[in-house]
Amino acid sequence: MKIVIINGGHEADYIVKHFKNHRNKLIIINDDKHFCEYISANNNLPVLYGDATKRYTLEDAKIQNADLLITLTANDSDNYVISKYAKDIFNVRKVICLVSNPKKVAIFKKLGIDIVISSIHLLAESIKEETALESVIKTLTIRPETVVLIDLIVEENMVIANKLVKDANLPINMNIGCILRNETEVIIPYGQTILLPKDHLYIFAEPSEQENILEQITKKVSHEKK
Amino acid sequence: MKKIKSLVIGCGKLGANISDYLSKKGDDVIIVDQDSRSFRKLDVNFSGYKLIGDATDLDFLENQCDITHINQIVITTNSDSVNLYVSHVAYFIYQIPNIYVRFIDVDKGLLIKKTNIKASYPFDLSMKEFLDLEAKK
Repeated sequence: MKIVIINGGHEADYIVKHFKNHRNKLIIINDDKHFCEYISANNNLPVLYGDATKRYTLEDAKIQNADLLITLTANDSDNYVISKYAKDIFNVRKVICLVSNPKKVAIFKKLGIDIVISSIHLLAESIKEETALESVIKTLTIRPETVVLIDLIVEENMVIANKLVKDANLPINMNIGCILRNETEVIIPYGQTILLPKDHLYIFAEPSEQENILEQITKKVSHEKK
Repeated sequence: MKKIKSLVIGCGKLGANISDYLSKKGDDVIIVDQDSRSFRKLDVNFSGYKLIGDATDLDFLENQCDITHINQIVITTNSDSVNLYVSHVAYFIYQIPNIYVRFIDVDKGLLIKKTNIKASYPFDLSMKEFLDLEAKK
């Protein structure tokens, strides 16, 4: 992959380390001379010193047709310009743009930026998603606000236990991606698969539906059986 | 005839003079700048509204500048990035009919192709002026 990383201090350094391997070609641009030297020396990679909001800087850096561009400048409008150049002029496949003002996330997306990240927004979203759950259930946010993966363990007293998938009356707006049984056996479920106690269910769902789904699926068998 | 509602972003020399002109012409004018001291560039007879705020903040544009009722916007802050962002917001989000923007960097013009945003470039004007002067030598 051809990956472009623009500005940022320690976060840029961290991302560079994360992506640095023989399969990736990294292009690093920074407008802080001190950080250029720091990142360059630290990772043994060339770093271009320049203002990435200028078209010629991006051209000199040869970002054309890159697979991914990450822009981390401290100024939201600068990040916007860089993202637009990348998408509209340099044919970059995917752009990740940092914004400091969380209210801009939705607007940037509306204006055509693929992925917009605000640390405050992310923090708020993950707090919202995490607090919706009981401690026994782990979730992984795959894309904020888009999809979550829930790891749920089937308990003996749940209504769904010992039922076939097709008979378990599962909510429609979710999908069990796979089942992990006895910590080793991986099952891709279909209608005839039985849900046994202690099975790990890996469920994909929308974050907004998460609470509803969990409420339905973890319903316990009522004790006053007739 | 209904009054034209004009919004001017950035009260530099250019923004201030355009605001004076539009206000004298009879438009309803709102001028925005982040720094109240910028407004001293306006004429003493300027009769529009002066608002202090961040033009990249949509809450500010909607609640204070009433952007949904604006017919024309003139964007002249000293940052090309802000100018581009606000012009895109004006065009793509609020569909303002007349959008004028000033860019120092001529290359920013590449990013407003396929829109009806009208841009002026001090570089082009200076270059043209030089060539005219040089031709008259």
